[in-house]
Amino acid sequence: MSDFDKIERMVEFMNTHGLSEFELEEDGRRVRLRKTQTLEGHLSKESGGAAITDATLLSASMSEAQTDQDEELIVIKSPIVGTFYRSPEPDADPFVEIGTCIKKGQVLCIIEAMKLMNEIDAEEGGEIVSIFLENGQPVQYGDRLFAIKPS
Amino acid sequence: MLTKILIANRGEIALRVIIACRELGIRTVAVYSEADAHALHVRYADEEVCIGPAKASESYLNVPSIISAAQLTGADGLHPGYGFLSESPYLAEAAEACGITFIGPSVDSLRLLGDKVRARHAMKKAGVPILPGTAEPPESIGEALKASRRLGFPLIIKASAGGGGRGMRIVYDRSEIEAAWSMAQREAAAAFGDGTLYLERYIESPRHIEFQILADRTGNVVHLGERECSIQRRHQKLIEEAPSTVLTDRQRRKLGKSIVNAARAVGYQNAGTFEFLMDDKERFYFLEANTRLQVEHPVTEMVTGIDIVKEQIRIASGETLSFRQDDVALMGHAIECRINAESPDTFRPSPGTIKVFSVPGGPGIRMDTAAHTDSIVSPHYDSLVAKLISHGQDRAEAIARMRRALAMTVVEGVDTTISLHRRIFEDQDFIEGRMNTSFMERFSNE
Repeated sequence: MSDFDKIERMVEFMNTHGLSEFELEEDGRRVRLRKTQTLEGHLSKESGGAAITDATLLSASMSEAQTDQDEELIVIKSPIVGTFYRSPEPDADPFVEIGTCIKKGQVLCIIEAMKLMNEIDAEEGGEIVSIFLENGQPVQYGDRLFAIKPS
Repeated sequence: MLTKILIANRGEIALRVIIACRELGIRTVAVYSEADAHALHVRYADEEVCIGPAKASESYLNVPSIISAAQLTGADGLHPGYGFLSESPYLAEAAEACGITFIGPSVDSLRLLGDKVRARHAMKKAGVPILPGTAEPPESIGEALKASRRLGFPLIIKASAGGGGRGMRIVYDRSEIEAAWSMAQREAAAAFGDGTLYLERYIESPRHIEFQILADRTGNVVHLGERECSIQRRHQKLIEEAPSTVLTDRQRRKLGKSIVNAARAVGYQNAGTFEFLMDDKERFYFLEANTRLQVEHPVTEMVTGIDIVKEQIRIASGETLSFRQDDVALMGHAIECRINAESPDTFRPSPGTIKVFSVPGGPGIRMDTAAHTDSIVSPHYDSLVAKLISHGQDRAEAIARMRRALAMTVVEGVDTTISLHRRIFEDQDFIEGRMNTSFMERFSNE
């Protein structure tokens, strides 16, 4: 293995294990690799454990999300902070599914905040192409809810 | 003790509260607008929730979003910081209704002392000296004219729902009242949603003296001494210090006692500041009560050694104060400079990205800031970049330390008022403690 390949493997090793410095001494030769600390690096969040990440609301989950490569897709984002519900009531059918054709003004979901049920409607008619959140998930302002292909 | 606190604020004060929480082992939730996505208070909190777009009215002033964020994260406490919703009875009431402890005074106290007319009344009843003024808000210009005859001139017309120096008009002569009254009424209605006005005698060039208090939930109230905030421009404080350069121990004890009694009489809880004006005959008059943590709280912390934010959290958690009035001692002298992203000459705001940010250290220097290299001073919020605080054995040492710390503070990329502060600290009047609220006007004209 060439020296370059060895270094490449060391860099890979560093990334896998989240190291910022790595030093290896072998056969009288020493190599030292160090990542430059940016402020971003210094301020990386201390992860508090899985419980927090699951329970807290963070940016939209990636689950069945289609990336917005299609420029024509309309993405509905949450205008408020609350809990996302796909159905009008717990046992009722969801307002929409993937593939549902919707009209402008049609209710897509409910976001509950402080015991008030806020209906979120479609700004344009079209077809539901993506649903970014699961029923009961917390949402914050700006989180993606639906992607719609306008008709 | 509370276990998770949501901070309903941003910038340096949000960071200040996070700092206290971290030291107490309490988890923190930061809320932020889209403009603050990369802000320091968001980075250092344990959890974060985006609550709205950049516009303050839709984010940091958005009660439903903030309460919702607290509910979703399971916060059991909410600290409102200063400004924004910190004195909002609506926020406090909504929080309490949802089982979240509001870290501040009760809803009743917020209502009582937030109404400047009722506050004056309550203070007068408790034996605190107040400015001669109207006991009941005049309901017409006719009544205002009548009151002005009794009170004399100059007078100041103030909004009952106002505060922080806004919505006020000075009147020097009877002939000015009618026009001033109508305009003030319109402004007050627009700015505060309430056009109720009252009149007070106006004191020319007073000194601004304020007392910090802490009160727990069992009726224990202590004061932590006074601060002097006479260096102001258009009613915005630029430099604050503790203790004042004028109060004697005797005056401090007497005024402090009356304030403590007044706070107890109205059932006040948590932190608060009682503001006074001192005229040239060393008479004190109650101005208003601020039912929240103040920007300049660090100077009091430096001279007393008491962490006011931690005490706020302890009080809100139901603990009794761990110290009594006799335990409060003032050591040395502390001064704070508010470093704003503004032109030091025109005071025009200078939003932008800070490209270089270097903070001084050394003995007796404290810097409260959420700024750093590559941080953004947003045009949507206030222009405060950092609070630079110096502490010394006496005022001379505090001044010497501030001088060298200002020289060692580097902020590039936006204009700042650092050079203005440096000039003030070379001014003979300031150095010798000759100040009142006309200082900046005089200083700017030289």
